[in-house]
Amino acid sequence: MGSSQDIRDPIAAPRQVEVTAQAIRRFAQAIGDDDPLYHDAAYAASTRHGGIVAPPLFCQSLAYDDLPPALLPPDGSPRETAALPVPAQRLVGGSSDYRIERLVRPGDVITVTTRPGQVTTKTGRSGTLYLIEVETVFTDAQGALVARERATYIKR
Amino acid sequence: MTDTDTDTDTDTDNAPPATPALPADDGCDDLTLPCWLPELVVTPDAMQLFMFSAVTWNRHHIHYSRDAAVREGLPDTPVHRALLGNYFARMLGRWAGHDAALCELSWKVHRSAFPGRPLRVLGQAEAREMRGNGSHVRISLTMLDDRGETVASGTALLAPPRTT
Repeated sequence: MGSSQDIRDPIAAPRQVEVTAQAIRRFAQAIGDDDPLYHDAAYAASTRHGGIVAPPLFCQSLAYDDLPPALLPPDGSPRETAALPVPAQRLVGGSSDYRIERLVRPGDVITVTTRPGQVTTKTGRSGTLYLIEVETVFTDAQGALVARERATYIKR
Repeated sequence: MTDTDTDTDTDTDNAPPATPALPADDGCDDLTLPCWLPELVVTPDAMQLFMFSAVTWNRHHIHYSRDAAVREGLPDTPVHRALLGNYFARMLGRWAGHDAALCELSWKVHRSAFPGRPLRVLGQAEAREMRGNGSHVRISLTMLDDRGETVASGTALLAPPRTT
């Protein structure tokens, strides 16, 4: 048995983030990828990309808003995962479905739009799980799609 | 940070065989399917989890506070779902090379991964899929922990290098 509600209004107003070479370099380090494509301008210029690009999932670094800590849930979890209130506190596991149209470059100004999707419930032996869908769309200054993520967060 | 790329020639008898990189000449036509991609072994550590929380500005305490993780019933700080996706992306990128493009990546977490425990990142190219600009490759993904349990599974779609 499950129930679902479907809300399509954005969680917050779309916001713009300017991408820097530093942000790309740090993301690459954080994921453990030392490919010079992500930090060496001379090397990157010799590839078909013609310059530094970001790793394919770089938009993950833009997905969560810079919310003041006082406005976060007590466990510090991103507001984007709490868009639809459920009677459960613990965030675990889940899934992601990423579409990548193109790689991000230094100087890109990316617009981030987050929309909640459905909430469904699953009741099992260990209790009730709440599956919360969130869609995040990343577009560039020309309005073209850069990437899109459909994520499912699980709360119990 | 501990990060080892394991060449499958030196791995156990259970390792999938090495395969050539995605051909750059005429897309995927020369690729014999199904084929295993070279395995990637990654061992996350506390610094990497910290860095990933920092670059994503994810302040969820479960990823930086072992006390908080234990209070939630875990043995240690779990690796972020988002970071696991990057391990798949790295394995794919290393095989496909700079000229191919990762178009789609989906993954689901089955159990938590923790710092200090090596993860085997595996992929198998299974089929071709026609898309607007040519023949793409569909790859199934699996990530195993050091007990052989499945941490994550998923699928990816790679576009071959453009010939023009």
